Parts: sequence; structure tokens; C-alpha cells
Amino acid sequence: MKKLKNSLKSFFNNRVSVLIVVMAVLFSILVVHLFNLQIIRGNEYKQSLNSSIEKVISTPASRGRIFDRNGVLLAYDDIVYAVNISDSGSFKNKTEKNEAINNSIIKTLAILSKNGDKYTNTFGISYENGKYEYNVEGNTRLGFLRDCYGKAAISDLTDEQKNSSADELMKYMITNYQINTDKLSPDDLLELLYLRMNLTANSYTRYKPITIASEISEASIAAISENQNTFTGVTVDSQYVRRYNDSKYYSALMGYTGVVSTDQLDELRKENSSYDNTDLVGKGGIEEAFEMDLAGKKGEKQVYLDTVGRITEVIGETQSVAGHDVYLTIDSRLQKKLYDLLEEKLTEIVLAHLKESGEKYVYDSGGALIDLYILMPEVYFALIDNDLVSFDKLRNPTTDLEKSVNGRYEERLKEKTDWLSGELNGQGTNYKDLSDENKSYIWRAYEILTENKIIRTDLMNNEDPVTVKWNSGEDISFKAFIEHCITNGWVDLSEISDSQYTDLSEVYSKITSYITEKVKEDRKFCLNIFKYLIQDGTVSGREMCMLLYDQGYLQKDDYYNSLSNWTLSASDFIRTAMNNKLLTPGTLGITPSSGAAVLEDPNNGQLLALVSYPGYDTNKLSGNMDVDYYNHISKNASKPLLNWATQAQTMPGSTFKMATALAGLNNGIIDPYTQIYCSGLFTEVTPSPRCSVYPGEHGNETVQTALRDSCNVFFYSIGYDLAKSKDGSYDSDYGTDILKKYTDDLGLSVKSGIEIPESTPKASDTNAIASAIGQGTAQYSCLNLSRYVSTIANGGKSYETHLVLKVTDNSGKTIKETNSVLSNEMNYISDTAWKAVHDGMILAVQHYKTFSGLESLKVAGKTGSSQVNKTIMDNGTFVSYAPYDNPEIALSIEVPNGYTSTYNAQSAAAFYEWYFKDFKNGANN
Amino acid sequence: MFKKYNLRSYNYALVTLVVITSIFGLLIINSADSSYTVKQAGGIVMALLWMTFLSFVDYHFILKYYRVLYILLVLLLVGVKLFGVSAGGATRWLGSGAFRIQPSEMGKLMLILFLAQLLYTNKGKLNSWKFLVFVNAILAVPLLLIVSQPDLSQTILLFLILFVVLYTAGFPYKKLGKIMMVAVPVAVGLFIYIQNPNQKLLKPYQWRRVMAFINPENYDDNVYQQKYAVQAIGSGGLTGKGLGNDDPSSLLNSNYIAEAHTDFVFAALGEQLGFIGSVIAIGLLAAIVFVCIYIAIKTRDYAGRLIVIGIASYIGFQTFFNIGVVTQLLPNTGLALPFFSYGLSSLITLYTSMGIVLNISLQNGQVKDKDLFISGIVDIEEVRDDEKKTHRLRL
Repeated sequence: MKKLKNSLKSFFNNRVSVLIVVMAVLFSILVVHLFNLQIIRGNEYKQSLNSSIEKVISTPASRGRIFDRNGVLLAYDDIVYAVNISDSGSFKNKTEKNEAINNSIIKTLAILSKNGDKYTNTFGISYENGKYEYNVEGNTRLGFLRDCYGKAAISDLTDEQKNSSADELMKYMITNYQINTDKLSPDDLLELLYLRMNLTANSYTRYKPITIASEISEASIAAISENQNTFTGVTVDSQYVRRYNDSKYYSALMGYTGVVSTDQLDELRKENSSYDNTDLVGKGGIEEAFEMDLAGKKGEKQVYLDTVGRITEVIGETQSVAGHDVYLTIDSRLQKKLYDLLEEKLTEIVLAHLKESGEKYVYDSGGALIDLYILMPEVYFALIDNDLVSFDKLRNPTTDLEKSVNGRYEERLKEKTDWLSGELNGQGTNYKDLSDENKSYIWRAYEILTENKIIRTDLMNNEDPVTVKWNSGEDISFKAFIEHCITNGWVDLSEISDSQYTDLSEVYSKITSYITEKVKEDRKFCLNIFKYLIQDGTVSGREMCMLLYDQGYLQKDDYYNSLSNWTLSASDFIRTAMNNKLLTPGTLGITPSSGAAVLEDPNNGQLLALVSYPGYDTNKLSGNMDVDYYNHISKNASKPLLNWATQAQTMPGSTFKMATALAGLNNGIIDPYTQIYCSGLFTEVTPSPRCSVYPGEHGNETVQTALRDSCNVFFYSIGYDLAKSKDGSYDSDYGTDILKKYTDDLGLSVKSGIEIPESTPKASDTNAIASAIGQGTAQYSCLNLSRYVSTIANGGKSYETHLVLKVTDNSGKTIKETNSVLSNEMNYISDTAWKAVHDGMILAVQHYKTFSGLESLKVAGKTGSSQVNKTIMDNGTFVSYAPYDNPEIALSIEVPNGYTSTYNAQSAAAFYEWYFKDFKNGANN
Repeated sequence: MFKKYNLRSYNYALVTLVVITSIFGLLIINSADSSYTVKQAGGIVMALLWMTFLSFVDYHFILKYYRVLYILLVLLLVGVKLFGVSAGGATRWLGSGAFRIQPSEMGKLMLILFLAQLLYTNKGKLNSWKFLVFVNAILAVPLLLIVSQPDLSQTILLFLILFVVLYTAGFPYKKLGKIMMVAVPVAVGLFIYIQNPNQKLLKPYQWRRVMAFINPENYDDNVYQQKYAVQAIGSGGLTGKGLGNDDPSSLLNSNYIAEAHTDFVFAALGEQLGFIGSVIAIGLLAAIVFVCIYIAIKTRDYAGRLIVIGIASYIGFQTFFNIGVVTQLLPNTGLALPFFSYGLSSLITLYTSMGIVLNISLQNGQVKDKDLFISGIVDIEEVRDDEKKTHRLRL
């Protein structure tokens, strides 16, 4: 022990030896550690190394084609060429790099503009009226600034950067990227900045190219490829572009392609992990529903990347595999015919109800709406409301006509905002004492307050007498109501101010200054101004029509000349333009402007046509969406983006009566010979519901004649009897439950099974009596009606509805085939019951004047209309099939607010005539 | 300034080691980024000439100006504070371009020289608290200036070097023990404190680096440099992928090794030359350190001995820190690998140090004045031990 102690002591006393030991230990640690890293774990590192620098780059696959049932091509991928740039070079220094990249971009842009190719600029700054301005606001602006200043997050921006003007930002970027702006046009400069910014944003994934322009011309391809060496990082690459033939006919069922959304990506990755966030995938319709079949298999390129993502070596490559082709059950000829017929019929309805001026509504003595006119000022206003005349262009006028009209608009806008300000700051007029025009402004101002949660309707007490007064438009002024809201604490200023206000007048003045500023930017408020400018003739219909040409919506033609030299009146122009399809109901957006038609093979559930009117050009939405076009169609009152055939729902109206008849016959309430007396009123209940003939009467009706005459009383009676529960008392739920069983079995109130999205149908669950004639709370789509009438046509076989016939690989070999699926067969209904219903439908068609002379076509069918409210016309429906002795097609048509179902019957008659006379005989093949 | 020397006493072994190590380093720089080869080669040639020249300059002549050295260093560091060039969030440089110097790099040698001479002129005072406080206070000035640049790693390194010099000079164990009793709890307390995200001592980037080392998975951004370096070294295996190879799966060739010619040059070395190359490099550096320590033992002159000890620990610690960082043994700091990393400031400091060591070694043969030495030592026991050992080694 002592020896050890002594030796330790002498060791520490010789201080250099301590240092020697320390150094020896340190160097030994390093050697041991390296031995562990390089010898013991060397192989492990070698393996993990490859995975950390190896990258698999995917190459897109050609998307599968979509055909109709006869192999007519509807959708396909076209190969186009895009010019891309990537930051793949290595440079001595920043200046050299900037010079090389700037030059190659500028040279590329010069070639592109020389050959008339457009480059897509989505930069956050645009050049307008001689100055640079931001075109993005709020968070989008901040995100844009973050990218421009090369920050990782918005929070990394300094306040100065956040508030920099467009000019300051441009100056910063020009300096940063060392751009010589001398010979650059503003557009080229913006495009250059856009590309530089994106290249910087990609600086760690440099293998990803940035697109300068898509679909470039042959001349540009040649010019760029020939001088490849002078264009640093610029490449011409092929890419696929989705194309649709005759797109408007199929838009709703087809869908389109677009960059995958986050939600979609999560879903798709569950099925196929190769999806990534820049992929183009199907959006809506068949494109989305058959994404897995259409997408194909991406190709792969295995590469080694360096730290900044430049490819150092390509290790391996696999080619992409094209997607599968989808064949629809649709027959393109039938689809187009029905679409065109529907459009023509809507045009006819609109034209028949156009009226220069005067009363809009026509009521019968009982107060029911029997006709509704479309006044010309509404049409002129629709031109701007539905964006045929661009309100935005008008407010930034360039032509003389635009300037003149905008001058009058601005004058009125000032007048009305001044008036509004006076109204709010002065005494305040009682709402009911205001003119209709001023009411509309006040109400819109109120809506702006509630939409922006300044006035919190969720806090509001709707029982409160003052609120009731306001909501019913009685004698209370807007000013008084706002003050009422303030005192009741229904006002929330947190959106517009950081400060706390307690004083009523302070809060009130804050709100008034907010609203008077806000209305000037509010599209609805401003359009309302315009509406009254047209209504009082300050802006004439002729000017509105001429603006269509002036702004380029229509190409100048003879009509334009006639309009400008006053030989054609505005209303005549509208009529002529509609007749010539320059303006269609779908673009004009004047109700009725939409509709649906479904043609089905009742023997297997295959859809031969599925028309949603109006359609739109899916080519413009596919790939890189044309945002202007998307906004244009989404603003239209005719709602082209809605699938009117599968997603729009209405009450079935009298088309429902076959279901009631079957229920009545099968439940023993009636037999085919039972007569029920119709006095025009169903007197079992009070208030007594009316028959359509009231104040007349149908007299004695059997089920067949009741279907023919669409006698409500007959079916009220069945509904009433069905609802009699075991103890004999009326139980509405009991009745609707029975009806629901039948509509479920008929395929009406269950989902059809179609491959694309459809709304969930809803059977009526209140008032068994009204439900029996198709009123109540039922909601069915045209597609539901189609399956329903098909089941009736074939005597109770309910097939799943299908839109896709088969899926094949590229060589045409069938991979999947849709077999007809019999989801339900109504064996429990007797043949006599079927016959009675069929006979009723045959009688009904024979009864319609429209079908006179067409008896040889053997059409059976039923019209229906459902009431919406007293200010718009009923929805018109028609269901039918033919030939009735051996049904091969079933046609259902639905036109929301279509005035009368007779119009639908007319369309159907025209279709059947064409189908059996021309189509079946091959005239159109 | 110059003396007559017996060239037989010239330490050719050390010169040979320095030349071999420098050439080795140059080969690695060439393979990592050949654009630096010519500059570094030129630098090495100039530095070798400078070293040779210095090796004949009597270091006592330099030591005469030890106060000037100290004041010059403080002025330079204040200059950095006032007119310094910033890079990566720290201000450590003066001047620009080719004339950019890093005073804290030179400072290591300057402070070693200063401290050695200070201790020499104050022989026997190490036992007094008053002198200890004075020494610590005077050394604290440049250290604080460097830590505020901020340059924590240079400060720690300097602290260790100066401590070794003081220790070798005979810093009394009893006093050391007392200081430890205060310092250790403070250090532990600080270590715990800095792990708190709201700590005020470290700059955010320093804090992240330290935390990244303690908890790599949470601070990935800050360890990627080390992660790639470790992967590169590990994948080098026993023999490496070959000097200047063109293997695309090499991290060096794929630009994954940041600073491959400077602070992370050892990663390039480890990947290309494997364990064998790594051990040779460490062996060369260790040899330089131990040759220096051997020279120190032989040195009779008190100040000269402390200088060589200081320089040996400077090279030894910096080597350990650098390779420790590159192999993820220590948190990421910015220290160059002696004789391997590219960089003028580092090169000049190293070769100047070597020049001085060579001169001290050269004078060992000449110095006869034992009194100088004996009177400089506080602890008689130690002197005896030392003498005995020296004798043993001579045998």
C-alpha cells in the first residue's frame, strides 16, 4: 500500500509524466474509437452510406385512356415538350453562376417569345399600369416573401422584409441574383425572378427541374436543342398532357386530372405508396374513381445525389408502364344527342319566357305560381353576374366602352356608399320604408357584418323581439339594429381592431367606418349596384351585349356590327345569339340553366348516357389548372361543376306514383280493378290536399287511369290506407316505412352503385299522404329515378348501376369486366300488379300530346313535377322506357325549375324518335 | 538575436516529422478539394522556410518582448471586436481576402510565450494567492475577448494549454485542490443550467450544438455534418476507398463532407485511407507531441521548457478536439487539425511554434547555466525527480 502511495506521489510530483500519460490516453481514445468505427462497424457504415445518398427518381407513366362502349376515344395522354431548367452546374463563384444561369434563362425566354410560346408566370408580383405590384395578399404574400428572401419560415423574416414594397423586393432580388435589367422587358424580368427564386428554393433537391414553359413549339425545341451547350441547365423534356375529346359532354362523369391534394395523397398512399405530392391524379368522375387503374406504374431512375441534389451517377433505370384503359358503358352518340336535346330544350324554355319588362310573376286565383317571366334586364345583368362580361376587366377599363360604363358605375357606387354612410351616421331610415334598391344595399351590408363575424349571429337571440323585427324587415333602421346588437354584446370587433372599446358610440363608429370601406370591395354589393344600373337603364342592354364583344368573350361578327349601328336591339340579339348557340342556357345562367338525363339499359343496369348539363371544358382544368377558367365556371349560376345527374337531388313528384301503386296493389289495398272516386279533394284529412284537377274532378279512377291522369286523390288514398296501422288509426311513419321498403327494392332510395360519387338518396319520412304522390321529404337524383324506372320496366329486377364496362391493358386484353349485378328481385309482386302499373305508364304516354303519332315507338312513362316554393318554377321530371313489350332503354330526364314536365316529355319524345328511327337504323353510325 | 549553434544538436527528427505530416496533409487536401492544393503547398514551403529561420533565432530574444506580445494580442482581439469580419454568426477575423488573420489562432502561441516568460520572471511566486490571482486576471482578458467573439472552442483549448503550462510550472496541488472544490460544483451547475432552453450563457447556435451532441435525434440539423463525417470515416474500413478515388458512393466525392479541406479534413482522410491511414496520421501527430515533450524534458531553461510543454499540449489537445469532433466523440466545434487542415493562420502558428521548439531544442546542447534552471523551480522534490528522469532517459 505504502509503495503504491509513494509511487503515485512521485508520479504526480513529476508533472511532465502526468502530461505524457494524459496525451497517451487521449491519442489512445482516438485510435480505439476509430477502430470501433472503421473496423468493427465499417461494413455497417458502408451499407447505410448507400441508402443515404442513393435516391430513386420516378418518371411519370402515361395515364390510361378512356373510351366509350364502342371504343370511341374520350380521354388520353398526349406527349408535349416542356423546357425546364435545373441548377446542376458547378461554378467557381457566385458571380459566375449568376451570369451563366441568368444568361441561359434570358436566352431561353427570347427563343420562346420569338416562337410565340407562352411561359407560365405565377410570380407573386405582376407588372400593371407601369408599375410592379403584389398580386398576393395575407399569408400567401408572406409565404411568397419567405421564398424570395430565401428563408426557411415566415417567422424568420424581419419586419422590414415583411413590409417591403414590390419595388424594394425586386431591387433586393435583382441585386442578389446579379441581374442586368437593361434589356429585359418587365415580363421577362418577372419570369427570370420567378425561376431564380424557385431554383434557390430547390437548392437541396437540384435534380428537380423547374418548368419554364410547357407545350412549346417545334421551332423552340429545335432552337434550344441545337444550342444545348449555351443553355446552362436548360433541358427540353417530354411530358404528358391529358386531353379530352368533346369534353363538355362528359365533364361531370369524366372528371379531370390535377396535382394531388394532401387528403387525397394520404388516401392514395394507403393503396400505393409510390404516390408523391407533385403527382397528377384524377379529380372527380371516372378519372378519380379509376385512379388505380389509369395511373400506370411510374418508372424509376436510381441515382446517387450529392448534398445539393445534383445527380452524380445513374445506377439503374426502369421504364414506366402505361396505365390501363377504361371502357365506359356510355355510348358517345347517345350521350351527345341527349346533351344537345337538353340544351335545345332549355334554350326553348328560356326564349319562351323572355319578356322586355312588366310583371314577372303570374299567379292563379288560388295564389299558385303558374308562370314566371324572365325580364330582359335580368338577362343583361346575368351577363356580368355570370362573368361573361368580366366585372374585373370593367373596373380596370381599357376600351372606350368599358371606360364609359365604368364611369357610370363608379358614380353610382360613390353615390350609394355616400348614402349608406349618411344612413349610418344620420337618423337611419326604417328598413321597410326603403326602396327595394336601397334595401338590397343595406341587407348586403348587414350580411358582410355577419359573414365577417363582426355581428355574431351565433350569439344572437332569435326570439328577441327587435331581432325578429329586423329579420322580417319591419320598421327598424339598420342603425338602430346595429346599436341593439352592440348593447346586447353580439358584436365582436376582434377581427378589425386590437383595441378594446367600451363606449357604444366608439364601437358604432368603428363598425360604420369598417362597413363603408368594406362594401366598396365586396363583389356582391358592387354587382348589386350594377344590377340597378341595368334595371333603371343607366347602363343599357345594348351596351352589355356589346361588352361581350368588346372584352373578347365573343368574336366580332355581323351581330356586333348590327348592334353597333343600332339595327339589332339588345333583346333580339340575345334571342338570336341563343338560337345560334353563341349564348347557351348553361353559360348565361338564367334559370332554367341546368338539367340531367340518364339513359340506362334496364336489362343489366349499364348506363348508356349520363348527361349533366351544362358541361365544361375539362381540358382547361386538367394538369396545370386554368385558374381563370375555373373561377369563371364556378361563378356561374348554372353550377357546371356539380354533377346534375348523380349529385343534384329533387323530390320525385308524380314519377313516384308507380311505387305507391305497387305498394297498394301488393298490400291488397287495391287491385287492378279497384275504383277510387276523385272529387278534386282528398277529404279524409283536413286541410284536404288537392288533386291537380281541382277545382275540377277526375271521377272514378282505377290504378291505370290514375297513372294516366296523374290523379293525386287516388294515390293520397293509397298512402292514407298504407299508413293505417293494425289498430286502424293513421300512422304516417307506418305508411312511409312501407313505401320505403318498396322504393328500396325498386332501387330508388338506395345508392345506385355507380362508380363515381353520388348523393345518398333519401326516402320521404313524413306525411305518408303527400309522400304517396312524391312530395314530402324525399330527395332523389336523376340517376336514382333511372334505376327505379329500369326496375319497373323489367318487372322487378333491380340491377346495380354501372358506368364502366371493362378495364383493359394497353394491348386490349381485358383485366376487369363489370358484370351486371342483380342486387334485388321483387318476386313478391304479382304479374297482374306489374301489368297494371305498366299499362298505366303506357296510357300516360299515349295521353301526352307530345307523343301523339309516336305510338309505334311503344314508349311507357310518367311525368312528375315537384314544387319548390312560390317564387320559382317547379322541377320537372320524366321517367320512361321503351319498347314497353321488350324494354331496351330507360330514359329519365330532370330539369330543376324547368317550368313543366311537359318540356321533359318533349325532349324524351324527340330522343325516342331519333333513337328508333335514325340511330337504330344506323343512320348516325 | 542569433547565437552560435552546434548543428549536431539540431532536432532533425522533429523537422522530418513536420515535413512528412505536412505532405501527408497536403495529399488529403488535394484529394478533398484540389483547388486548395497549390495555395497550401506554397504556404507549407513558405512556412518551412520561416520555421527554419526561426529555429536559429534565439527564443530569449523573442521572450524579451513578452509584454509586447501580450499587449499586441489584446489589441488585435479588441481590433476584432471593433473592425472584425463576421462569418457564420461569429466575428473572429481581421482584414480580408488573403490577408485575413485569426488573432485567436496566433494567440495560443503568443499566450504560451507570454505566460512562460511571466512565470520565469516571477519564479517562486506560484505559492502565493496574490500572484495566482494576478496571473489568472491577466490571462482572463484575452480569454474573455475570444469567448465573446464567440469562439468557445478556442477558449477551452487555450484554457487547457495555459493550465498545463501553469501545472507544469508547479502549480501547488493544495491550491489546485481548493480551486477544484469551488470550480467542480460550479461547472456541474453550469452544465445542468445550460441544458435549460432559456439559459443565457451560450449563444443559440452554441447551445444547439451542445444539445445536438447530448441528444442527437432532437437536433438533427446540427449534427448532420458530424453524421456524414462519421459515415464517411466508418465506411472507409480498414484500407479506405483509395486516395483521390472516383467512387460515386463516396461521401467526399458527393460533396457530403462540408469543410473537407479544413476542419473536417480527417473525414476525407478516414474515408479514403481507412483505419490504417487514420492511425498513421494520429501516430504522426502523437510523435510530434511526444518529441516535443521529450525536448521539454531535456530543456534546462525554465521558460523554454514551459514553452515546449505549452506547444506540445497545444498540438495534442487540438488534435484530440478536432478528431473527436469529426468522429462525433465531442460536440461540433470549429478547430483545425494541426498540419492537416488548410488555413494560413493555423499554418503560421504551427510552424512558428515548431521553429521556436527547434530553437529551444538546439540550445539545449549549448546551455550550461544550470542555476537558471534550478532557481526557477519551486518544488525541489520535483526538480530532483525531473533530473533523475532526465538522466534515466539519457541512459
